[in-house]
Amino acid sequence: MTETDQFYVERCLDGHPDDFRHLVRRYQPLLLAHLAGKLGHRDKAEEAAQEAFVRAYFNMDKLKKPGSFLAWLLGIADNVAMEQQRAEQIRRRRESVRAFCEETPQPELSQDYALEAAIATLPEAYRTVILLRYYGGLSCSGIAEKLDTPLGTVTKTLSRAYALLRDSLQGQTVNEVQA
Amino acid sequence: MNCAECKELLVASLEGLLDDSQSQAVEEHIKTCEICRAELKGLQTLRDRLIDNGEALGQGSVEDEVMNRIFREQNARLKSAAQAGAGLRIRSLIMRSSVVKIAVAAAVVLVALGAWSIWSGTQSGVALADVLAKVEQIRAFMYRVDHHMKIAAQGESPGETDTEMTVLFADGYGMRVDASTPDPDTGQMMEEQLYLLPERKIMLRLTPTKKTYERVTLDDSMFEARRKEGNDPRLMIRKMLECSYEDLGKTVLDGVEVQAFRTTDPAFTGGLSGGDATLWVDVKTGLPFHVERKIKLNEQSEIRATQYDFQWDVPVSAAQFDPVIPPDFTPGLADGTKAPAFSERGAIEGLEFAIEFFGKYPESLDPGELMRTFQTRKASLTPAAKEFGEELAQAKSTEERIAKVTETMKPLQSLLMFHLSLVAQKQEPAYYGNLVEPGDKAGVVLRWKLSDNEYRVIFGDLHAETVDAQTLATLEAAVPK
Repeated sequence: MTETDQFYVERCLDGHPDDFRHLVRRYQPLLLAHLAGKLGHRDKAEEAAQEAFVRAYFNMDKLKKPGSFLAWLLGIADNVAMEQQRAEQIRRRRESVRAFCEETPQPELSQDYALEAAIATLPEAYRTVILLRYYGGLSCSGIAEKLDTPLGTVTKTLSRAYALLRDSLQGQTVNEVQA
Repeated sequence: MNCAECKELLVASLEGLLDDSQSQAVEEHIKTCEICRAELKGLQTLRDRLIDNGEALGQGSVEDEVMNRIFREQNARLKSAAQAGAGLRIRSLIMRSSVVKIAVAAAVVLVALGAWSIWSGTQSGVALADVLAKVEQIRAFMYRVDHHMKIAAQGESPGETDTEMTVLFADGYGMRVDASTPDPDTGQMMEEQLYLLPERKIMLRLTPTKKTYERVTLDDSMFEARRKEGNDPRLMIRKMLECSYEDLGKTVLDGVEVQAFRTTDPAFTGGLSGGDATLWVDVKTGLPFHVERKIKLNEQSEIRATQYDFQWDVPVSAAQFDPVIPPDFTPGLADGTKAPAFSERGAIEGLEFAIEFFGKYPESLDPGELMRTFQTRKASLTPAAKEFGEELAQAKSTEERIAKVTETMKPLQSLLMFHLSLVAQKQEPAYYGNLVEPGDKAGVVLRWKLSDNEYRVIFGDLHAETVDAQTLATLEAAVPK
């Protein structure tokens, strides 16, 4: 597990599909968090994560910089999530048309993933640091190394991310109370 | 320490990143400051939640599901012939070596051109006078081709590609090829349409996968032969019958009674030695039914093609040969280039190129042999070759490299193709480039027959002359052995 992303990407491209397992293991919690935040459900997040990993595998030859595997994977996951949401929307719209109901119900967000939903709305730099730290199992110095930035910048980003997250979570609570 | 300073360090403190003096300062400030204590507690709660959620999500296992799906889909893709090359079997087969990539890319186009020339007569193609006479009557036909190519560079594992094509050929319109061909860079299958349009003298290649188009201008020489022979079918038949072939007798193929003919005559296999072709003719219709062709380029490299599913006198509409370039397509790297000329002029340019690049004429004009020469020769031989090597190293993608090589090596291709067409047309070419030095005014580099007593000669200083048989004999006797 200590090899770089690039190493495993190259291995897969050289015909060792089983080595993709290491990348799945490495990024599974992170990807699930990212997707749970977007989709609001663990089942849906797992489904989307699977799809994103499989798509990533079969398109790996299109990955221009093997070192940027994570950013690329998150991009694929965003597409999958968007497709799922669109399909869900269509399904709901059909249902509501059938029920002569004018209002489309909001997708329910289970309380468990309110935190991940807040993470999903963070600007990319903050989101990446939070995801890598708490869902990717990296220490702050590990993140500094991976992103090639000074440790001081990582802790500052993390501090700011905490502040933004708390604001966002408080906003959610206020909305819930008002609703 | 004041509150602002303390707040700045709280996250770092939770992460255990403070040094002793900072830790102590934060600790002391918190003892006395309720606001900062509350802030720390808030952060602590959030952090615990992050850690808990991270751990919970880490326990889920999409890993096995993902890997099972990958193996399942990979197997399904590999089993499906239509998608051979899809999935990630890719790079292990598709070539690390750019020499191989380039060879394959060039060969795919050559196959298309080759298919054209089989039917247009620069190669004698499907043989036998009566079969040919029948084919002559047909205005439009189509067939399918499965094409397998294995090309190896020295010290590399061979690259293999499978291309499937549907070829539609119509008198007065041209040729259209719908192909599934692997991207030389990734091995992913790409759909392509290739049009050869004699009226407009262009070859157009549309690649929807990449949303690109490429228009390549074709030289007159490509169409000359067709016109000449089209005007005199007897000449064509006579030439066909000059090929040595073996009648293998009748048999049944896919429930159809067929008669098989086999030839290894280089004139039949496009002038390439190491060729082997078998044609099955439908006994009832007298028309070609199935063709197998194999060309061995060297020990590890060969091209195999199967032509089948022939349909004769198919209805054709002008629209099928009037390609429309969609507005969102952009020009590919080969757009606006010219196809190599298969002419004396092209051959001379090829020889000039060889001097500039290698400092001498090629040892042989056999493509397999030439490929070997390429690989063993150091690219730093001449300034031109060195410069080209540097330029190639700067190319941003394999696609760009292939385009550069194809464009640069075009004169050499002209020379090879011209030589092949001389072999195919039985014009008795002889090549002495391995014996004659560049600049030698009297040394014969390449000669071929024009008529019974007339030969055309390209000399070492690259001027060309027409001479009679006796003069040629004298000139050739003087070529150093």
